[in-house]
Amino acid sequence: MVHSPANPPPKVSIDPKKIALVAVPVSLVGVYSGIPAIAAVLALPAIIWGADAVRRIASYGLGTGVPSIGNLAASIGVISALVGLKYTPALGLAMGAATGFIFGHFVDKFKILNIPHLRRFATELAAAASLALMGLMEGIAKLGHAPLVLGTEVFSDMAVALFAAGFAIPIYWATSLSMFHPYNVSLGAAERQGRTLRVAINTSGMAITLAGVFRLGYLAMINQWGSMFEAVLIVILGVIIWAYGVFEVFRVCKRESASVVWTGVPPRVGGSK
Amino acid sequence: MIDPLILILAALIIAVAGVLISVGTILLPIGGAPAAMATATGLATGTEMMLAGSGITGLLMAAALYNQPGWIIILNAGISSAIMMSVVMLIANVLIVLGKGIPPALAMRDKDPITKEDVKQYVTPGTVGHGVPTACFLDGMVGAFIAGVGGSITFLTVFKLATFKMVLGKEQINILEIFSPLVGIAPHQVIIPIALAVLVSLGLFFINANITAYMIKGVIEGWWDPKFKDLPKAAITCFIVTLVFGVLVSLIAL
Repeated sequence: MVHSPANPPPKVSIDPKKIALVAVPVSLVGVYSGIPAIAAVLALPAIIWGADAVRRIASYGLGTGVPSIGNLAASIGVISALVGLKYTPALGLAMGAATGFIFGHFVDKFKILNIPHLRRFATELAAAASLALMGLMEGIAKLGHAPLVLGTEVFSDMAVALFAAGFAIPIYWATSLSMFHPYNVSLGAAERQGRTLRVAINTSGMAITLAGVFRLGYLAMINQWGSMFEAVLIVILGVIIWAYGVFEVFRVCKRESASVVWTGVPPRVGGSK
Repeated sequence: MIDPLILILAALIIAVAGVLISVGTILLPIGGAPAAMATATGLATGTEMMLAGSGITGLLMAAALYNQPGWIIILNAGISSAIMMSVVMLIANVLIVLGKGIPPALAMRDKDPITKEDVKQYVTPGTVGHGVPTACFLDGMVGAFIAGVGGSITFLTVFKLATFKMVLGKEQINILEIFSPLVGIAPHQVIIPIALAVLVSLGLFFINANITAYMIKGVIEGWWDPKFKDLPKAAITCFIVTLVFGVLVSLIAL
């Protein structure tokens, strides 16, 4: 079997199968737990899994840029996540994976995109997006701490936060960005899985912080000042993850670059003062 | 309880809309990165962003006309998308012609297919055309119109189903009712159905734009381009993927 472009990187820091084996149960437990802070924060492994799937799929060259695959994943993911929140989270995950598989199968069958293992990659991508969006949407919209086994009772309440307040669309973009950005920013000759996934920690921290801010706004809108603590907790945890990601990326970049030098403050040239 | 017949019919309507979006996408004059340097015909952006820009304009019009009859919504959404695309192409041409001093030219045909002008001689050696010539312009308008129609059909289906279930609480739905006007509903009642329908249509735009974009690999001139012959493959893929998507959407809306 001949793979035409860009031979895949020889070794990876973490085996993709291990990421999937951690991400699926952890994120699914987060969604099932029904506690918004846990659901939102446990979207982290799913986003990292998605970023890793983007990394594998986009390393072959897509012809339309990396962001397109993130938007595709988030588009499948947002609908299957809504199915999951309305019926039961496992159904949403299964539907997302099935849609991704059908997409991968037919795109591969009609030779639209010539990527080996496209079916598996597309399935992983859609499943990861669906898990991440379920967690983040639950973090924004769910009231109370009852486990989310059958979502039919709480879905109409969640629809108010997601659609009437309009928080579904920004969180859809935030998830899309947090999945495609890591590979998009670090692609190049010396791209390395470890560094790309560290950027994914960074971007998922941003998405979680955003979810917390949306929850603050939603609770203020419906005058639920009592449960504000949890929204603040999501923001704090998100900021911690985000800051950890930033410092971790900076540390790795400093270690792997040829040299890091301080260029000094640029001199003032002409102008006022 | 969900009526399986309604679910399948709604999914089929959404799948047809997906095929329309795919056909519309392939007609747009997509230039990609080379067009930003005026070394290829078309607009200097990718498929997705172009389709999103024109499609969202159509969705905005569809949402504003929510209580009108179906054909008015569909036609107006298509026209708004075509207007948006025309404005973008016009401004791109103004920038290329008056700003950079480059004449719009086609590389794949000797003569412009619409005006029969001899445009090949204006192509700079080593490039594949510049700007948006007349044939590309008309092509892009038609493409944006078809894509806008596809997007508004999705919008209409999801919006009407969600309104019937969530706002009116109907048990029996006739599928043809989604094309009839909505009476006796205040605007504040339909905020959730409209937002859901717009989110779904946006997702559908991205999925179908991506499948088509992967096939045309970045740059396409118009219906005379050899890549246009691959349209049936993309259309079949779009139909199947959108059918699954339509089932999921109907599960949410119903």
